[in-house]
Amino acid sequence: MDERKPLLEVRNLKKYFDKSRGFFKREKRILTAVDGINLHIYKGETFGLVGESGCGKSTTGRTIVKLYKPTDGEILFNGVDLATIPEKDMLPYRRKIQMIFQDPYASLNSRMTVTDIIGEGIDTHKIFDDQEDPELAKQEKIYELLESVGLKREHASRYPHEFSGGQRQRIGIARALAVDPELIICDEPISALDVSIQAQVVNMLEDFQKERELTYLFIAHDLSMVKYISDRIGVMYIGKMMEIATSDDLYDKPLHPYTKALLSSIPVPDPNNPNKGSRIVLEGDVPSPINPKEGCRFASRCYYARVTMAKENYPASFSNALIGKTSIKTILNPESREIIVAENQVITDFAATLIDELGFTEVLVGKAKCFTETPELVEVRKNHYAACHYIEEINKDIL
Amino acid sequence: MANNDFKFITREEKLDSETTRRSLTYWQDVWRRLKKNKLSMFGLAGVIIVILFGIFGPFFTPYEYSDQVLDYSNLPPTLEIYKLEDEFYINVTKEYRVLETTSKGKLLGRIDYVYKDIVNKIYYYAKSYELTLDDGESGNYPLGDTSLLYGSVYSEKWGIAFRDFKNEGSQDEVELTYIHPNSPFNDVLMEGETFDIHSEDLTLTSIIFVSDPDIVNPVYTSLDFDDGAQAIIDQLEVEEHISEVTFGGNMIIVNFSYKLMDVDERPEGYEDVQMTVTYNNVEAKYIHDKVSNSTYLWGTDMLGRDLLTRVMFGARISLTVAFVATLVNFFIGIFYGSISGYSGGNVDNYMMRFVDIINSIPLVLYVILLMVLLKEVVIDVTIFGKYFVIFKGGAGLGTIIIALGSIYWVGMARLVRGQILGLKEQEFVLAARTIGVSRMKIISRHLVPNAMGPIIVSMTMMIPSAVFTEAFLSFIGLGISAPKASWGTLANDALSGLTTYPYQLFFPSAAIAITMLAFNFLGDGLRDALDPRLRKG
Amino acid sequence: MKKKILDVKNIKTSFFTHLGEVQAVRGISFDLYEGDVLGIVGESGSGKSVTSLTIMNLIEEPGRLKEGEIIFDDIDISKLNNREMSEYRGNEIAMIFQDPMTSLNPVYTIKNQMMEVIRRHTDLTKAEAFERAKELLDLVGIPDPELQIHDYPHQFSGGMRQRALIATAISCNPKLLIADEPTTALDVTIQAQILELLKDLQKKTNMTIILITHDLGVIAEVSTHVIVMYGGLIMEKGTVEDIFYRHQHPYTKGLYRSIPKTTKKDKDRLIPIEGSPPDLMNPPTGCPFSPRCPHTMKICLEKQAPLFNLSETHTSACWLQHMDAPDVKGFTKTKEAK
Repeated sequence: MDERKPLLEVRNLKKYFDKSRGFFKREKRILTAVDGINLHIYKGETFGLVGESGCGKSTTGRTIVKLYKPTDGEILFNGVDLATIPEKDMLPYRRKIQMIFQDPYASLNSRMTVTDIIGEGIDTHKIFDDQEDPELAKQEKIYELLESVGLKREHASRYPHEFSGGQRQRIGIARALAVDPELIICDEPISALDVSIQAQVVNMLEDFQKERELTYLFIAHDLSMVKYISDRIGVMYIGKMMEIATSDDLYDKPLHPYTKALLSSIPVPDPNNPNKGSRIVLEGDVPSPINPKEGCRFASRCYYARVTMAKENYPASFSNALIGKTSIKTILNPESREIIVAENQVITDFAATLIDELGFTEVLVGKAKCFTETPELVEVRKNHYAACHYIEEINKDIL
Repeated sequence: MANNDFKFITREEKLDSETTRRSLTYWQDVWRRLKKNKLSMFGLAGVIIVILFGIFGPFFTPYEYSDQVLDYSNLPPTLEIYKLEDEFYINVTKEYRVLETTSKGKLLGRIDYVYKDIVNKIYYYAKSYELTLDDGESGNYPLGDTSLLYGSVYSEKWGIAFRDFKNEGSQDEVELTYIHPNSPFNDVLMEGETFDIHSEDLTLTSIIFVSDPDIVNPVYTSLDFDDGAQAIIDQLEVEEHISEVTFGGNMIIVNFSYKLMDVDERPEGYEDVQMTVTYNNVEAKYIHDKVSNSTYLWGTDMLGRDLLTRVMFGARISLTVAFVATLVNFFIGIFYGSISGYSGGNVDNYMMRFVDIINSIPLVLYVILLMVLLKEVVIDVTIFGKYFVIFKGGAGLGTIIIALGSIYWVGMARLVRGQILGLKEQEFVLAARTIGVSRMKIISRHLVPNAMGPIIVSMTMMIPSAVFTEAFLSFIGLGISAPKASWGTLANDALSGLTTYPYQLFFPSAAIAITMLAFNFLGDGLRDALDPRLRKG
Repeated sequence: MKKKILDVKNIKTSFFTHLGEVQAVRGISFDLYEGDVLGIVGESGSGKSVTSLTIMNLIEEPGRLKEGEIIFDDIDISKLNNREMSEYRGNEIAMIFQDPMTSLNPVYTIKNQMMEVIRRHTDLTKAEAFERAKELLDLVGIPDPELQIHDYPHQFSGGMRQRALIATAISCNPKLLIADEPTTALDVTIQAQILELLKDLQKKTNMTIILITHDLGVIAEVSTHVIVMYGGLIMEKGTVEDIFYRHQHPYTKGLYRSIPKTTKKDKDRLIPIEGSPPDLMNPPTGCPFSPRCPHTMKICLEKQAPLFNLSETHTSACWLQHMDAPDVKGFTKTKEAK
């Protein structure tokens, strides 16, 4: 553990959404957007949160600012648990934690002028009410903010639609800065921007961090930009944290199979990239976060967790194997008629006939633990956490 | 190429790339799109015209919506006039009243019947009659002026004229009856014969000198004579004997017997003649001209009220109902819908089920119930000594507005809720929430202004719907009561005379149709203009 | 000698909106040989998508191809009417779009949609077309095509839909496949799958592909040739090595500098391109990049540079390549291209 005191500490945070269907919600469907994640962010650092769409990274950010009510867990901000604070008492903390949003078009109210947009926080928190002329002070502050994000004073009376995407995003940053926050949650702030504009915004965020000692939670799916801006990175997959490490460590020596696949999927802007041929291409799609199965969330796509055996050769491969009938219950994906059997389990003749009769085309030889037990996030190396049962086995060469 | 061209320039010399784009604000853009849509501009013009028509129209007509002139009842907007002589034109109405007009269609007055030959379908009219009494005194009197004949007169030639003593003592109600020797009375009443005018059954009210022709028939059927007749005629004390009543030369004879004949039955030269008008022994077979009715531009209704004025007043009432109801809906709908939508969850669920319940009550039933409920309720105030009735229960304006206002908001609430549900997940709302902006401020500053487009479209569409509902309720008799009129009641009034006086239905229903079309066109155009999916182009 | 598939000659496409003419494509030319994978890279508003739509003759009102020729198989397809063009679309030239959901009709099964395309352009029977559709789904890596082919698009995930679309697009063995941001809407692991698939298919069928994207990484991954577009014009054109290792245009350089390199250890500060993309309503008179360029010269504001030949395959449109231009490190001077 680092000796620094974290500014934000999230403990076992859960956010479930009830998507039950049917009469009186008979069919229970729980979307586990965030399912018990832990993370801590130190003052002045940038923590990157990456993952594919639907992994719960945005929900995590929004739950931290209490846009969503957490289902369970603690959100310790400077030692105060925000999760237990009722909405009406949140106002002082709202000033401390701000958010920058993804869509530069949807994040600004098109019916308000730039002054109104940026000034709304100042009004809400009555920041200049002790001043002689609060209106003048507010106006000065708005001008100052506009200039600091590279816009002009005369832009204050304009409407958002008169600005380009990058300019709008800068207005959004000015809005967040107007209340002098300590922590800013950047929810994909550059995803919707053009490449040449992304760097402008990223540089600006870095400058503000230095000037104002800001702490960022930087949520993005663009791994290269996250690596660039973050000090530490957390990798999420269907509501679970898979790996947390310093950004260099994560990129150089990823430990978790998912992180490895994710990193190798990034297209490198280098045609003669030496790793071009050795990319790990994951099979299948991200499974639904609704009513997720037991076990590691990544198990269904994990190339370490399973090996597919064709129908013809499984008895041979498992000649010395024995399997209990009960194991056949662990059917993975009934539509594609696959079952998973553990590597250390053996198939009896009886089971083999049963498999044939059931019409299964494939038998996946899996590591049973991956499908039955959810791995915990553990510190594998210093400041490098990963959630995988076989982390040491996989990374023999590194660890 | 000059070398000079390849000199580097400083940053300041470059075009300022950070200038913002010139573009239109949301509402400017909506207006531009609306202007491009011809149909909706027609609609907008129509809406403005209808509103101006309702507000300012009544100032330009000399009539009130309740002014009745029975002589001029059921006049069409176009008059068929016969020229009798220079500067003397008449129009024969559908009810065979003869009206004197100018050549421009201005009504000058009615020319009364002298005598109706019902059997032969020949009616006689005269502006005045000349009376010569036995003592040689004579004078020319306008028809219908009965003051001279106060008392009873008798004429050899024209029969008797007598006063109806039934209303003895009240000079105003004196009605005089004149029995022409050639009149149908001759069958029952011979010259010199007498009858009991005190008889209860005697309803000799009008044959001649009295304008209404419809009472002709019952007159003689109810005549009843008894034995005491002779004595009573003595009591009449015939004061004067009329020696001569002349209608002669200036009698207008309308012969519409041709109308009832088949075309081939008509005498030669009259094959295409409906009726003839004879004046001063000159027979006019055809109308002289069709002129528009310049006294009553859109004609009159069955009580002789100016239709144009009534349609204008109807516009006031219909539009008032529509606008007030829509405004009420607007506020209730936005308030209810935005709270429901923003709260979400169970609050939203229960609020929407309540909306469903309200929505399931049929409007007509609801209006009837309200009328019963509010029958006794009168809200009035006296301001500066002037008495105003703000609301009066029963069938009328207030009840309709309350009924529409309390039903129609349901649709608006649903719409607003839907909009808010979509908007509240938008990032600018999330941003306001992270700042800590209060609920009410988020709704009023962020959500409602952004939902305004669809709300306005819905309001524009709701106005014609309210106009129509009001017209419908009035039409079935649940609406505005007489003498006030909305378009619906006007249409209802016109229904009984639909085949004979179709214009009476045409004008109010055209007003309804134009208003509905105008608002719908405008609403359609607005919807297109406000639709975010179409806004990119 | 490879066969020339497509020859685009100076096309200009504009959209005539109420505010004025938006000049989306302002005169670009390139040619394409069989088996090439041409990547067109540019930011939003650079005209890259409009270029592809122009080639497909899919520009709708208020847009119009103002001038230029698009020679495909010795025929100027830009002059064809809609009916004649539909003979080419899907058959000779196929296209896949960014959003796989909106490109598929939600009320028909994958089978119906694929068979419709196959049967329109071939004379296969129903049964043969069905077989062909299944083959294609198998080819693009949809597991269990026998079952999946009867599904509706919403039953497919984003990556599967894009695979189904690719299967439909290649169903008639098109000579040219235009892929407009085919992976932008997809997650990075799915993007990797689709890119592998495209590369694989290209190798198998020797198809010519135009790949439009804003992601330099995707371009480097798949393309053999690259066009860099900005403000409706070609800034630089060359083989993939030319563009990534020998880029000569300030815009390409700026673009390359503004993306973080994951391979690099130490954290260099990103060098963004200042300013915003040009307003195509009133494009700058000279080079569209001049207001943002670090080396703007007087002539840049007045006149768009012609393409300068840097090598046989490599051209760049920057005045710094002109013989009279001042020396700047990293820029080569050369002669104008013909």
